[in-house]
Amino acid sequence: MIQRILFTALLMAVITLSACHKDEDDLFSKSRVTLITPDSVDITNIQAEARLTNVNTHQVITSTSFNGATLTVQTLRGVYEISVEGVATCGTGDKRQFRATTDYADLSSKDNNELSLTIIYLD
Amino acid sequence: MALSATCGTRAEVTDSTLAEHVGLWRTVRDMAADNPALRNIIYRTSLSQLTMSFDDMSQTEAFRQELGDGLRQGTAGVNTFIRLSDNTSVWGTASYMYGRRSNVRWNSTTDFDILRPYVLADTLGGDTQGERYLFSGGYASRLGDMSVGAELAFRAEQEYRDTDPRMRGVVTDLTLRGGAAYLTHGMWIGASLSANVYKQTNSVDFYNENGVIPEYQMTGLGTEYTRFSGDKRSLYHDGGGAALTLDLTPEDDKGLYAHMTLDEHRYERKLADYNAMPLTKIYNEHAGVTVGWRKDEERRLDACVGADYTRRSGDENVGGKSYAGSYPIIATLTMYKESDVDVYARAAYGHGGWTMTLKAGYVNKEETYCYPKRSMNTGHAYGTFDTQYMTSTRGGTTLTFDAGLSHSHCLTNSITMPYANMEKAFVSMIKDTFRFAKAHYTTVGLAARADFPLTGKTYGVFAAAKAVMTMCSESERQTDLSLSAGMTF
Amino acid sequence: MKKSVLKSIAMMLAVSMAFASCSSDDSVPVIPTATLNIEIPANLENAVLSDATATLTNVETLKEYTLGDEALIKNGDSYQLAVANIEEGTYNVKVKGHLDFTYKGVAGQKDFEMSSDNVQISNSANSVSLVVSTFTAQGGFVISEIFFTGTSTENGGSYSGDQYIIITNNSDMTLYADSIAVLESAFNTTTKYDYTPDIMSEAFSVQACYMIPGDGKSVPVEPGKSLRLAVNAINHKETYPNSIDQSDADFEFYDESSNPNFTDPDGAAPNLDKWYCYTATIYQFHSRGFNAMAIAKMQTTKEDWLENYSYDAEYLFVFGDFSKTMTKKGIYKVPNSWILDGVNLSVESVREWNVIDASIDAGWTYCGKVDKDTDRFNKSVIRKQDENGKYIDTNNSTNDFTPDAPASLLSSSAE
Repeated sequence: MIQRILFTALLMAVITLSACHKDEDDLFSKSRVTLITPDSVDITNIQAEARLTNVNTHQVITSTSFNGATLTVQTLRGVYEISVEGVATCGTGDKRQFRATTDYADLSSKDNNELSLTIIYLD
Repeated sequence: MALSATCGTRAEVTDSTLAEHVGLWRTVRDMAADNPALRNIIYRTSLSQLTMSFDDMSQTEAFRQELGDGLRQGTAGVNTFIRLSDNTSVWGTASYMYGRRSNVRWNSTTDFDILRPYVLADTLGGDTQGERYLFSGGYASRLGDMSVGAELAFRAEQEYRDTDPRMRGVVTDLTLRGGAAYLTHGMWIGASLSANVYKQTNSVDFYNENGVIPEYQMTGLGTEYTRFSGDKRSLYHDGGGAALTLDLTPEDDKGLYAHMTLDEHRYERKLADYNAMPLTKIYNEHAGVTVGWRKDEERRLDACVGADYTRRSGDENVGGKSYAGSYPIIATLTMYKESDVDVYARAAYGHGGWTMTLKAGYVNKEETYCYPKRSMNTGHAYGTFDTQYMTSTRGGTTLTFDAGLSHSHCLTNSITMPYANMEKAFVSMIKDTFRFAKAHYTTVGLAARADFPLTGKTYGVFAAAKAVMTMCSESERQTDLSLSAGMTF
Repeated sequence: MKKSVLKSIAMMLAVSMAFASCSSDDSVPVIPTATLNIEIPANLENAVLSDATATLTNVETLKEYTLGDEALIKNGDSYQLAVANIEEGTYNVKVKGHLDFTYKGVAGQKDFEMSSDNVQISNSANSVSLVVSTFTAQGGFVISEIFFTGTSTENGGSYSGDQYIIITNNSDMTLYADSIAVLESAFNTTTKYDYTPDIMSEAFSVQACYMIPGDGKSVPVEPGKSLRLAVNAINHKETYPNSIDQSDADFEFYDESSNPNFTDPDGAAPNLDKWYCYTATIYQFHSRGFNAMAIAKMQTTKEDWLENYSYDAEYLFVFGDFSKTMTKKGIYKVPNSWILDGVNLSVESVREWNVIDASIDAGWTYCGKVDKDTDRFNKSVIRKQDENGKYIDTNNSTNDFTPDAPASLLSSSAE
């Protein structure tokens, strides 16, 4: 009898424990930011610094890891202001200074986030 | 334990009544009293007290800035436990407290210990005033080998400041508890379940026509939710939770006993300005177990070991693009984590009017903010010795003397903070918090109480005084003085 | 029976204690060599980096590693600085230097300073790259100071009638300020809507336009000299001793108010030619800095601009389940090609977006950390100057301006 009661009590405890909060520990996600030209000219190389400012925490991370026209970066999941500035080498061989910005980029998905930014030539 | 001769609603207050309800041995026995059904079994005598008390706590420097460096409060209240019969009891409490907390900084929210780290805060702070109303009532009855009981408790509290920044917190907290116990093979097996519903409205106003200072939505270890910090000064905290207790208590107070408690409470912080946008949520989870052995005869003996584990985790909601001041939640991340472990062993001895308890243990606290990485960890070994002597004079006056000594020694501590990227005010706040978290503390306390029965009356009067001094290794100290007086019946 | 009780209690103990706690590793690995790559922009030729210094600050321990020119190594088109025996951790990296280069056949030079925060340095990630930016906006008129917060009064209040904006000739030749208009954005940086049409990449949407009048050669400004445009060109100190004497301003914003209870004092300075303003009474800058301000060389007549450069913007207003398409009227546009300089102003606690194209200003600046910040008064946003006294202009006011700076006219009158 006492064993049965104790077992029931233990079961209640386990059930209570299982209702505990499950932490969301998937904090980071990978994002790919692709730069495109306003005149649809191909970009062969980007030499630039990208500054990603988390809109909620205002923490800034910077990256220069462009592969062609695409930046791959791992960030805390969230929304970002993104500012890219540097030199774009186009398929025509031209090298032009550019800037690309967005006030709001949703990089909150656990899976890969994809984003395109149109560059503005500065010269 | 044999039934006391003092059943009934108009009992004379005897030494055994005071010993049961006020004596130090009560702390050894009363963890099972969380279960209303077992309270009916544990307390065999009736006692009601009408009390007026005044407490004054002051620190040379705030041990915890969010709680201030001083607390002065006056309380008027009544609490009662009445045995209606051998099998049935009722109990209740009603009290009013008015108090003043001085130099509260980095906290503009009431109930800091429940809601931390998700509070509103600023660098200025100041004194706060507070009022608290407490009401509770319970009933339990024994039916053969079963005992059942229920209890309701309600707390209403407000805290405010009448100079800029004018914080205001209004709290309501309702708790319902039900329990049952079954007697088998000389052992009471009890289980109780409680649930509470909590709400706080919290705001900070500025009357200064020149403007305001930033109010920060704190998110733990010196971090703040920057996007919604600054001028979002109106919040709600909603939440509640449940607790389960399991007990094994020997019927005759001789033998093994065990007590286990599991509880979880969740409190969500919402911005009133943005369509009640939920900003953060704190999850407080606790598990505790005590196993011991007790013998309550002419010589009273008790020995137990126990452990308490508390885990707090905090979720931050990521706000998306705003539409007319309304923000959708696009992700939830667990950024704040805290785990506290307390393991201890306790022994108690009593004989006649003497009771002594000795407790030793180790407390480990780990606090982490996930990204950018911040952490604060401490480990303290502690020991406590308390003794009480209760005696009666020829005139029937009961005198109770208490003395206590404790020491908490920090064995390990570590802190990781991105100081280079923190504002000066936050660096100073965190360093101050860590300074006191890793300090050693020694506490010495003395208390005395005198209960005077009035001739020919079924009630008496009492007066009590208590003084406690806590010395901190950071060359700071805290003094607590308490005076109370009232009637017992 | 007692054995089974004990067993069951032990099970309860095990269940309730089935939580893991973290343990921390106290030892910090040391990386033998970490490399700082300084990339020179690919559109420059004959680039030579000199006077380079790099500082790496461990954000937790605050330990600094400093490297100078002597550690600089040229590696192809970039330069490298090697840091030896650096502790693993998170670092703030600052690099300063001087670059001599040729751009499209023309020799140029630039002193640069760049930083990168929260950089992880570890055995598996022991290389940090920074790209030098040499972009400088073409010389000409720039906004060098905007004073919009007003001054604090002796009785603890505030006064905002003494606002001003200073524009400066940042070139090496005398330029004429005729037809330069001061513009205020139609949209707030603190409230974001998806406006339709979205013309920001082509034009600046404005709600105020006041132009310096002249025939083209009436207002010469020598290199390095400035014009102060005051909201009210009167001596404010006569009423508010802590304020500013603006009676010597070069121009003032003057409005013929439609409300006799709110009239604009007509001070000593010549009036700007008011092309349009949203208010029917008196114009002032937003005293907390919620708009973008710009200067533009107007390329058409007032009549033509008022007739042909206005538009309405629609946006969706959403509140819970309620949504409605709203129309914002009274917006005028100024083509980005006319804009000489622009500055986004906002406040961190309420900022939502930039309201001028990123090619004109990719950043923003401010006075006050929070809306109605009690510390914002008597302060300006002031453009930084280099060693030669030239104003820094990279079309990014986050980098180009000093926020919360003491207003220059208040500092100089204090002297």
